[in-house]
Formats: sequence, C-alpha cells, structure tokens
Amino acid sequence: MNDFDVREFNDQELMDLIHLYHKIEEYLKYLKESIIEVDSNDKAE
Amino acid sequence: MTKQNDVYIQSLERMKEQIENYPLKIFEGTKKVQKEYHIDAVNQRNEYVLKQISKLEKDLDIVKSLLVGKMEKLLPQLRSDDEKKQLDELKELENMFVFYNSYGDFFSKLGFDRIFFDMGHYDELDFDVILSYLCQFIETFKLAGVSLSSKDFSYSNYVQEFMCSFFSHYKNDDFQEQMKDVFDNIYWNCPNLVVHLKLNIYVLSFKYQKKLDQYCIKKMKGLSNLNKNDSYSFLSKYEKIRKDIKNVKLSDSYYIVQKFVNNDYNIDDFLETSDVWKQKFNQFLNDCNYDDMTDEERDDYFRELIQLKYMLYEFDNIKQYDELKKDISNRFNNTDKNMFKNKMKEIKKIESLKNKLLKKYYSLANKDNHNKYRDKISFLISEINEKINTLDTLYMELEDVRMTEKIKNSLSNGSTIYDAFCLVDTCYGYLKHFFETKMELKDSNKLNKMLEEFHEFVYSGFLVISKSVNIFQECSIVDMINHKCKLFHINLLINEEDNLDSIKKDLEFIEFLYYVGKCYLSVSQIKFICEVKTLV
Repeated sequence: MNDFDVREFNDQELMDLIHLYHKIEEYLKYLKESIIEVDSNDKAE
Repeated sequence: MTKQNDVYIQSLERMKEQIENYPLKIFEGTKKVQKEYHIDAVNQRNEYVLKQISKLEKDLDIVKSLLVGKMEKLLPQLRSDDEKKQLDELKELENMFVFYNSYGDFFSKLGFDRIFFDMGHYDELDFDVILSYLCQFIETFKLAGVSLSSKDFSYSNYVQEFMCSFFSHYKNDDFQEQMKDVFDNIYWNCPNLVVHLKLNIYVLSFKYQKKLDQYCIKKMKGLSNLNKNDSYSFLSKYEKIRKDIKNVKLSDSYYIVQKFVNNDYNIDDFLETSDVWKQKFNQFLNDCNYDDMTDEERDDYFRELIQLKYMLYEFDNIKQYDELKKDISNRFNNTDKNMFKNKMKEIKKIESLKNKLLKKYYSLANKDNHNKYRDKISFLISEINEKINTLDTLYMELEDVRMTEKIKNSLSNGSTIYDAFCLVDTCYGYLKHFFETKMELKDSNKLNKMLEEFHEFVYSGFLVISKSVNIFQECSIVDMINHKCKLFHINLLINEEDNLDSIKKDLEFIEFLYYVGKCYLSVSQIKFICEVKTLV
C-alpha cells in the first residue's frame, strides 16, 4: 500500500474536481466557438 | 460540490451570460455609424473572449495538474521487488524441479529424452540445435565423470567420421562452421546421419546409466538440503509459489487498477449503485440475495464461488486431456510382463548383425587396395543403413515400452489423475508424441506450448478434482461439481456437454469483484484514477 492515508482523498471531492475539469473544458469549447469572424465587407468599408 | 468550485462555476456562467448579452448592434445613427459600431463591438467582444480563453486554459492546466497529482498519489505502485523475489524463487525451484520430481528417471532429468525425441524429428531442427544437443550430451557426461571421445561414437562409419571431426574441432572458434561443412559432406552419402547420431546417444545413455543415476542424486543433493524423501514437500512448495504468484496478479491493488485502466473491466459495473455486479453475484444464489446477507455470509459465498471457478477450469482441462487419461489407463492395464525383455532381445539381435556388418566394412575399407572392394563396401554400407533404420523403429518402440513399464511401476490402483499427470509431465517424448498424434498437432512451437500449458495446469496449485479422483475408475466429475453446488446452495447445475465459458467468465468477474472489495482503494477512487488517466 502507498504510504499515505487514503482517507485524505474524499471520494466526493475527487469527483467534484473531475466535474470542475469537465466544466472548464465545456466553457472553453463554448468560448472558442463564440469568437465572431468580422465580415470582410464590413472591413473593406 | 465544494463551495469554492460552486462559486467558480457560477462565475463561468456569468461570463457566458455577459458574452451572450454583449451589445453588438445599435439602431441609431447612419448605416455607416451602425457598421463602425458593430465592427468595434465585435472586436471588443472577441478580445474579451480571447482573454477568457487564456484564463480558462490556465485554470484548466491548474486543475489538470491537481488531478494528476492526486491520481499519482492514489495510483498503487508495482511491488516489483516482492515480485522479483517470488519469480527468482520460482526460477530456483524450476532448476531443481526435474531433479526432485520422483517420477523422472536419469534420461528425462538430464534432458536426454528431449534430445532423443527432437533428433528423431530432425527435419524440423536447425543444424545449430543438433550441434548444441551433442555438446550438451558430452558436457553432461563430463559432469557425471565420463569423458566421451570419438571412440564412443562408433554406431556407424558415418557417425565415427562426423564425431572424429567434432572432437578435433570442439571448442575452436570456427567449430560451428567447420562442423556444418563436415555435416554437409557426409549428408550426401548418409541423409540419415542425425538418426545414426541419435541412436548412438541412446545406446551410450543406457550403457552409462549407473553413473548418470549417481550424478542425478549428487546433483539433487547439491541443489539444496532436502533429500530424496522430501520430494513431496518440494512439489508442495513449488505449487505454492506458482499459486502465490497468480494470486498476487489477481489481488494486488496495482494489477486491479491496471485491469480497469486497460479496459479489461468497466469500473462503472463495480459502483455500489450498479446492477451488473449484483446480478452476476445473485444469479448463483439459491433463495437469497446479496442485500439480505451478512458480511460473513457474503465472504463465504465469494470463497465458494471462487473455488467453483477453479473447479470448472479444472474440469474443462481434464476433459481436454481425456485421451491422455485413456492412454495411461490402457498402458497401466497392459498385462504383458515380457514386453521390455522381448523388445531388447529383438534389438540385441539386429544390433549384433549391424556390428558384424560394420566390422566387415572396416576390414575392407581400411585395406590399402580398398578400391578393389568398392562394390562390396557399397553393399555393406547399404546393409548397415538398413539395419540402423530397423533399429531406429525398434528403439522408438522400446521407448514406448519403457513408458508403459514406467506407468505400471510408478502408478498403483489408487493413483489419482494428478499422480498420473505428474508422471507423464516428466516424459517429454511421450507427451509430445501423444499431442502430435492424438491432437493432430504438427507445428513444433504449438506442441511445445501445449507441453508448457500441461505443466502449468498440473502444477498450478489450484487442482482439487484431479487430486481426489482415481484415474482408473469411472467417476462423474460433473456429479461432483453439482454436488458441491447443492451443498453450498449455489444455483448451478451443469451437464457433461455444457459449454461453461460464459459461467466461467461470470465467476471470474465475481472473483475480481471479491478482490476489488478487498482493495484499499474505494471503487470511486479507482474510477477517479481511470478518468484522470483518460485526460493525460
């Protein structure tokens, strides 16, 4: 067994951390998709 | 969810709302003003989004390193030192195994049966292997106190010619190349040279049997403090270490986690809330289910189901070796008491004829004017070859007779399947020939693998049925298994012809479930490890 107390790893906290990771991924995906391309016609004028 | 995480996720949601509600258009002013505003707003919004992306990427890295840190701390380490110690111990016992196995004779203990059998199948052998067999044979004799020379290899004129070169080049740097040339030259005159060599080896082995037997005893004593009578305790130790190694692979946390990480099992099937494991367990229970049992009752059931798994595997293996069992029985029941004597008589007669012909050959071939007798010499050579071919068949038959004698002498009416399998496990030639003919396997590698599997099976340390069932009596193993199931309230009834694969697989799952339950990590912690492993 590893020389640490597994009780320091609360199951719920571990799962929450994973959940947080996936949430950040989800928002990152949203952010990347929400960049608006500026219309070239707009630019030309 | 921790408060801190909650607050953070809420901030992300607010950020999203802000982006979605960002005013990108105005409706006042000229079209040009409206367009300019729009471009400006889009750029500002994009700038904000990019800033958020950069921030979130940093946050993601932080969370990822936190996850990896926790995962690595949780991840069980391979106890390689302990495992190496066990494997070294097994290796040491493997080296001693042949010498401690009381069923083996000097011929098998010294590996001569392998040489004899393989050289009989020389068309599948590389010349280097044949050469290494000859070296092994000569070196083993040397260790036994017998220094062989070319004079000992006089089975035929070709053997004599080959072995004279062998000893003159032995241990030279170019030994292999030189011998290859010698072999190629002789081969054109005598394509059966390997058979001649093989028979010479066979005859020499039995000529020096007494010395070789003594060497085997000396070797056994030198390997450990155990004496011959300790063969039983040696085998128990040998089986135990093999069993322990297997158990470690099943129960050690490192291997348990690896099985999930490698997708051999799905961790979700093992969650407390999953029906999968419960259904698999409950299907074997009579009139009760997992939820209604005490921890002690569950543990008992687990142990019985695991034992049942091993019994079903054993049953399938015994079925696979059914022909072998029949052959052992037939040999045991053979009533011919003079088989060996009669076969030896036949051999001696032909050996004497062959030796006379060989003597005649040398008397003519050594004459100064031997060319004058060329036709006679050719005739003699063909006669000698013919006699050696007959002798080859007779010696193989003698080996077969020796096998029957060994079975009759080593086994008794009370012998179990295990006793009989331990005995034939020492007989390389018999077993390989048996698998080759009865199981119609020709590929030498596959045959060797079958021999290994057979040895693994016999000495697995998990055998229960084979150690209690008499090999010579009709006994329904199916009834034994069904009886055990009934006795321990296990809901299973099998028939002789049933395919047990899916039942064995479910029992294997239950065995794994048992060890997962004993693991110091919780299923959620293992799930966490698996999930983080997919992220990195």
